[in-house]
Amino acid sequence: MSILINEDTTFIVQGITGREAVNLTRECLDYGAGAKVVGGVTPGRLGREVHGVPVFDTVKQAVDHHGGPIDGSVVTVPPAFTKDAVFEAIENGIKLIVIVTERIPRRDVAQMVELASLRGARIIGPNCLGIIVPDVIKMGGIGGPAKDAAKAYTSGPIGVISRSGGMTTEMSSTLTAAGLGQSTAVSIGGDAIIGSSYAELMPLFEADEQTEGIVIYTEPGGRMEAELAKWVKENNSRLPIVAFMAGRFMDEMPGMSFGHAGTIVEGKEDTAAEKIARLAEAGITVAEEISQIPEIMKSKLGAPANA
Amino acid sequence: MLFSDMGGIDIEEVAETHPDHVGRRHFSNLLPISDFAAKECIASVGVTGSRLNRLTPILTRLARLFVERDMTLAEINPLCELEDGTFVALDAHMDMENEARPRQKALLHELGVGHEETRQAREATEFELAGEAVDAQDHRGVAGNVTEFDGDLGLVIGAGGGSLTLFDAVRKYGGKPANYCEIGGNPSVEKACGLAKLVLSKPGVDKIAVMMSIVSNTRVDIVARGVIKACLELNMDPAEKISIFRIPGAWEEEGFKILDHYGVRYADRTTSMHEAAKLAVEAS
Repeated sequence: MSILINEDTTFIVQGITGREAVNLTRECLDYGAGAKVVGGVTPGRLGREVHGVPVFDTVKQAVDHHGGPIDGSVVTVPPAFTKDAVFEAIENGIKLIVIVTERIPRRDVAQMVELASLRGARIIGPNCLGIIVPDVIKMGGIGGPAKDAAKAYTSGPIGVISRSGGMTTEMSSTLTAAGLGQSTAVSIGGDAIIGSSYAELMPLFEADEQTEGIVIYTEPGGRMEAELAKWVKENNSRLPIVAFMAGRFMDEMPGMSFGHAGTIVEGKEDTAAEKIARLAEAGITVAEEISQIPEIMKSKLGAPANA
Repeated sequence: MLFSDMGGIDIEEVAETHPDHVGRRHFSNLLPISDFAAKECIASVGVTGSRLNRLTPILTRLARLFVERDMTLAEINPLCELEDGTFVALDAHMDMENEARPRQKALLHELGVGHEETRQAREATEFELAGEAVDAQDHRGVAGNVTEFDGDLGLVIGAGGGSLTLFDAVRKYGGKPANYCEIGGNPSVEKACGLAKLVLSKPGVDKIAVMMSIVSNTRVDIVARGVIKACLELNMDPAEKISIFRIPGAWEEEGFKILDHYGVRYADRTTSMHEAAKLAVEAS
């Protein structure tokens, strides 16, 4: 199985007529079994088509055309309009929203995440590349064109969660080369506030029979790693976790932002050193190099439970 | 929101040494900010009586300011009580996030905060400003976010997470980076070229390493063209100046063909990012 999406998942692309969105739509249609992209939305462009996908002015029109609830939306509209687009998706019954857009003000993100939580919807991102279930479906630009995605991702027992979109592919490719496929890989986004953190996705992987281990990519900044460590300790997780921490050099440079908007050392808890210590306390191994991840994971998978 | 009755020192320190003197409460970003949330937060550390009633509107208004003005931090510390029971803010600290600047122009103008005053911890160097100019030359992708360091190994690296990983990797193998930067989102040949030229021209830099995590949007061939063009325009031999080119992914066959033509050493995904960084350090 997989988490979040499967071959039956239907979704729309908001902002579908933008250059990147047109490419992303093509990639999703081409990958695996072919995603069910049931519509696109760009206000004022009703009646057009993007790679055969009908374009609507409103999400409501797309839902009416589909004739029933739509599972998800990939949101690619510019930052000033993203909040409205996400509200529109949520209020039209969409339960899984992947926000690709970068540079959305935090207040808007906080409001989107709060509304999603009130309505029982889930947000992935912002500033992310989406979700991929290897050989089956991808929702978002993750992995790129279908032939490139197929090179990096293969089906298997590892769940991947990453704050960096590109590194989701780098780490999955490393796992693939070592014979460890992925159940689902999720690019969760690099902003200070995101819809779904490591700890919020863990219960889904925990409940997924295919998943036997988790690999995460992490960076300085924020409290997400501390929350993951806490979750692992409190829930006696069956899943071994191997982490990779990038941006260790930033510990010497407080107040400077590198890589992603949420990647900044503002307090002691933000540092790579502190996070590595917290993860280790929870039994999460932090690999020194990405190439070491498969061997560490294999030894953890081979070990008896709770060892 | 946070409230502490032990003002005058760093709130992180209070939270560590006297956690019972720090009240915390979440408030909604969707609902109008109402007094009761601030009241609960302040009362939770044992403040009552007229003090509570005078403090509540201060915290409520500070929270409103925080939300309406897109702050990442809005702190009054210390807040002092006068003999007549009124309160005065003796110092305050506010940070506005960069992403919200466009919609807070009027306030920034009123306060006299200019465009060049970023939230970075130190002022941009000439080298970094030149990097910004390269990135601003067109709107396709990113080839910038340049930060100057005092080493000798020039880096043309990407993307966000890839740059963080590669910078660490170079240092792990004893390399001294001359700079940090990020390429991503499929920049034009001109931008990749501009960035490579900037790094190659930095005093003390002999060679550059061109490395990224596997790309799916950025095209390998376009970055290859850009960095080779940079060498040629500076009358340098790409084979000598580019110590290693490690960018696997979209359009890699086309990219590797170009690199072959100029004799530049390259690596595909079977060479890990750390191995590539090690090769770059050894060649410098």
